[in-house]
Amino acid sequence: MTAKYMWLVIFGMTLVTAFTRAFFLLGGKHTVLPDRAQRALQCAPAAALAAVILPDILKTEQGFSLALSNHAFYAALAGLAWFLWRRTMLGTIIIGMLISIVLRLF
Amino acid sequence: MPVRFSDIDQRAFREGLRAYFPTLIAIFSWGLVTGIAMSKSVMTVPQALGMSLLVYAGSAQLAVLPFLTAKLPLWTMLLTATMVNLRFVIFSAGLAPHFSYLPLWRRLLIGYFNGDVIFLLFQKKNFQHGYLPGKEAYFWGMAIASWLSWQLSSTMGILLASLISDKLELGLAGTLALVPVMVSGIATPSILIAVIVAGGVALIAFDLPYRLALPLAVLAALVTRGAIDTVIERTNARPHVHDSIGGSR
Repeated sequence: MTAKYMWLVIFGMTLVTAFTRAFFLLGGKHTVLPDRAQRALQCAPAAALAAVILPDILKTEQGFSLALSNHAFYAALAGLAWFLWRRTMLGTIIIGMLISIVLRLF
Repeated sequence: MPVRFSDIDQRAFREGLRAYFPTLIAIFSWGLVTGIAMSKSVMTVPQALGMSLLVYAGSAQLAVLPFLTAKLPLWTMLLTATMVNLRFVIFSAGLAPHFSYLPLWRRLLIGYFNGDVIFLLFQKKNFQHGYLPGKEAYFWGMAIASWLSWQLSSTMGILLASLISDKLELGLAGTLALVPVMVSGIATPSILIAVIVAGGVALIAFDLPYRLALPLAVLAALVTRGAIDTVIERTNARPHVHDSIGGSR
């Protein structure tokens, strides 16, 4: 892959990012959605994150797995439990990583 | 030309910075993970730095890396980046009523500097639509905190990648950091149901090409949320026939 081609990819992706992120903002007052749609949008960020996280922690080389050998899933469950209990982000990461390390030892 | 900001704007800007502060660990681990992944791909260091600075979209950057290694055509990469970024189209619809009075270049900048966490926190403030003193400054407080921490961590990842062992599951740390952010976005039971639907769709559609699963999952969540609202409205409407129409809550 040539350097020129790589920069083409980078500039292309920059345009894609700017265009998608500003999409409904570009039209100004003409592209403001009605209240109903606005309310439905409240779930969009959490839904997007769930769609990123869930496949990420379930996928293994053998496809999606709930088996104990899938450390990431149980690490994330432990992290989730910690966050629901204590509400600290750093604790969530630390507990998750610890569980992952402990599971790997077995 | 010095620009003077009003006291309200300055206070709102600082409030935005503070609001973003608790999520810094999340953005930092994602930036680090993305930087390391870019550095360990076929990209040179200047290219990786350029991508981080210009594209500024972690999930799209990560999604495209395997395409670069496999030397797939440009359009497949741009299509994949578009799919991964489609959720931002939906977020931009959420920002539009708040900033539609601004000139085009400012709206474009606000869009470009928006992100998952920024939008989630912005929505939680429940600002009224239209012009409101300090609202834009609040957005920029979060956006600048996000941009700086992302660029710093991503650059660190790119430069330090060779020192970091593959055995350290940094990718898992990045994912773990997103869990609290997601949970704090689930404010009502109807959002929880919509989020569960999104997760299910993301798993079922996982094998579709160009990362189509992601926009499909968000769309499914929106439809679910809309359907729940309709059901709630119908059940509430019956006993209160005389209530005014069009009141939004």
